[in-house]
Amino acid sequence: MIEVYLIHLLIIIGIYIILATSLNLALGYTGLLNLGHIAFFGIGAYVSTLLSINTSLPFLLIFIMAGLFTSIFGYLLMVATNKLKGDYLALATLGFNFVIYSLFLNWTSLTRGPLGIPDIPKPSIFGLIIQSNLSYLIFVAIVCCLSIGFLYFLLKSPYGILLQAIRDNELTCKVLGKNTFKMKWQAMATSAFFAGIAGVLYAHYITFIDPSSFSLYEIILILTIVLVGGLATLKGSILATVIILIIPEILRFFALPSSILGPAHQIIYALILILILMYRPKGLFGKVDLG
Amino acid sequence: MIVVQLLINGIIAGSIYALVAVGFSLIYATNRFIHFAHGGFVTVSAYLIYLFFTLVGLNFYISALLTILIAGFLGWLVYKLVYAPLKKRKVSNAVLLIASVGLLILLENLMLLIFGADVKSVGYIQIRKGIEVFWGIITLLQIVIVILTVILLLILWFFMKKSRLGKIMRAVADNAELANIIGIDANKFCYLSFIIGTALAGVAGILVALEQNIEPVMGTGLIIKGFTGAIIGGVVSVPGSILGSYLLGLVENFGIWFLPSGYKDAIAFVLLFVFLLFKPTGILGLRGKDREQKL
Amino acid sequence: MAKTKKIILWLIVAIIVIGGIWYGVTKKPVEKGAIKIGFIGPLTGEAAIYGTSPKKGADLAIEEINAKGGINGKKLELIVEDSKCDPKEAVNAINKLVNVDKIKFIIGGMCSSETLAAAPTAESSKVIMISPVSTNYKVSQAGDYIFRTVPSDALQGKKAAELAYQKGFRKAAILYVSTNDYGLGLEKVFKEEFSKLGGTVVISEGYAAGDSDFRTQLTKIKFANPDVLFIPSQMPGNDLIVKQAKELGIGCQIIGTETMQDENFVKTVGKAADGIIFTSFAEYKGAQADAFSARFKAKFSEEKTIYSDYAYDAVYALEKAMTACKDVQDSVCVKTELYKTDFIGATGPVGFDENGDVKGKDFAVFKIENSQFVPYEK
Repeated sequence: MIEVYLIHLLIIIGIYIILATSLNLALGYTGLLNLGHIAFFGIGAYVSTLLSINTSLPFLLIFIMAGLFTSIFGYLLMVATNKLKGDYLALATLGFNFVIYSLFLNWTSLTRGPLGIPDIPKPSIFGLIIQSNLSYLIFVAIVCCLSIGFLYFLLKSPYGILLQAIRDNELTCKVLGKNTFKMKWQAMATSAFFAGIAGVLYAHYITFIDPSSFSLYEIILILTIVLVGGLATLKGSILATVIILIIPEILRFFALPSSILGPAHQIIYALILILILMYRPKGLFGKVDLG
Repeated sequence: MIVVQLLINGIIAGSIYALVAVGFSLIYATNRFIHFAHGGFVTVSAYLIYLFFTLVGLNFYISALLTILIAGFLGWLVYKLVYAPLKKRKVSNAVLLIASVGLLILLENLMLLIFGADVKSVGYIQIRKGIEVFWGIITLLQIVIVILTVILLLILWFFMKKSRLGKIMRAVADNAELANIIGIDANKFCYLSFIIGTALAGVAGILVALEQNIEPVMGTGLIIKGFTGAIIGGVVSVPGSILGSYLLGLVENFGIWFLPSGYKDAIAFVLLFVFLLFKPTGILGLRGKDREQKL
Repeated sequence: MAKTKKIILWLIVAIIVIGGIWYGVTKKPVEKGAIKIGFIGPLTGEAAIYGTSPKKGADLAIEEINAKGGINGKKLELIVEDSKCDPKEAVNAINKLVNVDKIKFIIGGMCSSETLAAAPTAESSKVIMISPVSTNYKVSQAGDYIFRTVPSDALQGKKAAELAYQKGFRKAAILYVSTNDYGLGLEKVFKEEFSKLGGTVVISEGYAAGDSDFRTQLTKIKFANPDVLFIPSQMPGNDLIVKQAKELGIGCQIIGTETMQDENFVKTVGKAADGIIFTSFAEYKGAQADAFSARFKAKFSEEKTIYSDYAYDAVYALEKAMTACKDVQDSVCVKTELYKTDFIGATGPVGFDENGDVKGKDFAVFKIENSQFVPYEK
């Protein structure tokens, strides 16, 4: 019985690892202050859901399409915010998240708004339906490993080094003749792609999505994870995801009444975030500071 | 005529946003970073007036005074405990922004923990039909809110633009180091802005509690609207943020005359996003030179 | 120094991970052979009353059943999940109950959106859900395994419409919460029924749950000149709607729903609530109701709270159906038995029609007078 629960936890951890590492790509390695990452998560989830329910396209195709569609938004966001710096950039990306959230909420003919979309079908790959949680875990683990692998090699390559150079000193890179804007939007689009993929995994696991899964609280959660793990470090993000997601499980251990449990959760996340920023801004394994 | 009532509604909504925006914008004008947690202090103040007046039973005006004083003190406290140490390490404004969001969540959940999730009402004002003004209706409390906001607008405009203190605060905001060289203790003014700004959050908290009742998450919605108003009007300019809030209130209320009412928040978000992208300094904000130096 | 820091960090990680696993392994062991019944409802959040209150009724029922030896000798145990009146949380909750706890019977969801969101999972897993709170009309069609001991809003909306028509009103306005099934369902039913009777809904305005400024919607409503205003909404929201309506000078009769039968609503709104009529569950005044009230008071030291009796009856309906089956965990058998349910519970006669809706229950009309809820005589 415990293994079943562990499987559920691992699936959620796997999905969030993809989310965290993709955010780190944009935030930590390329220096793009994107606070709207969760919007990508949501777009991937909704696109995949709508395609799965309304069309009979094969799942793998939908999977890739959702990722690609989301990456277009990554590109668009970069185009829109290229001229902004510092906290204005952060704010604009936050605003982007709110606008997308509003879209999910109000475009009811498409998304059913706050009622959400239930009964999302389980993925079917080459005729095999991923029905049980164990098989879903295997699926998530595969996608997770592939994603981390891709990011790892990308970031180790000269391309990745260049991204970090852009983060540290964009002007110099420009002077040296690099098309920094192009590399930035590529980084953002890639980050968005993986966030979208994570959204697909999420939607087909929970089998129900609604706009509330893609709001301010999720932004805080993923930011906390990335900052705790540290910027510009993949293994930091992976480790931090595990730690941060296990905390609520440990809280349950203390058998607190549920009216205390809910807010206690949030308070702990908020405190961790603030304390990390104050006392250990590099997080666990981070190479750089924020901003 | 329905237009008159919609106008009044927009002005009332705008005033509420302005009350939140004004303290927030004062803090921004002096410190040059986004202090989202301001919304949390509005929430805390609302609960304070509930605590003193409704639970403990003190006289209303004494409760209000206590609330405002405590709010000011909390502003000083949060600067001392969180922002001052962070600023000393010369962190970027983005870090301060994220820290402030963390604080907002912290404060709201503390209120949730202590007071519970159900709606609380201060119970000071009886519910009755408003006063007929031209072709519309407005209540006494709402008139008070509007007048108070207009007075604040005038006072702060005068304060920031003309008074010596206001000029010093703006100088500090522009270049703290230079101000220090001239002999101005920049840090002291940062503290001052937090004390006054959060005391203003206290005022906002009291009035919003009376007008809209109290629940733990009220701060998030309010600061988003207040912040949007500030951005529209020009967050650097305190009077501008008040005007921007009125603009927001009016656009929202006239907007949902035509659009389905569920779109009210969407209007605010879209306005926010558009302004951030194309005119982040807002309508009254100064051109360019006030923008971030720190990246 | 850096090396020690790393070691410390890994130690912390190890402690957390081990702690997490240890917790899972040493979770309170279920009594050997106990029958687990799931509970899905909001225990936290704004709608918490709609979960904590029915839970009391369920707890009382289970305590009584266990005191008499349980079902076929096995004790019952309630496994509780907090769904926060959020459909997504309800889906998480039912997934956990079904996959981890291997539960076959659930008292829940409470909010209609919860029940509707969790229903597909229940159906495909052949898990029975009995809701003591979900009134939305769509629950009737939610599935073969989905039951409820409360009547459907199809009846409530109808009752409200009839009430309005009988009082002579012909032009109705509606202000409803448009972001959940509850408000949407009632608005739809009221509109249909009122029009069928011959009235006209002159304006219908929605609002998003969580809003606190309804002035523009109310302004539009005021200028449409209705003679009655129907408000299917919830707390929070109800209080500010009534307040702002009064302030704007809307003088027509207000008709509300069972969410107004709430002490906090009346306390918050005060005198402005007097005169409001609302539809709510018809009270049953039999011996079983009195017995329940007495036992409830004995256990919880307060008068019976909203929906607690419906949850109590839900558990007993389940118990009777399970007792009739050889294998108590055979949900297919229990389901068939549930359709044959026929007993008198704390809420009166309990039986289910072919949709799993409780038979023979209806809504009644109440009035708020001096901040009290009194039955409404025409």
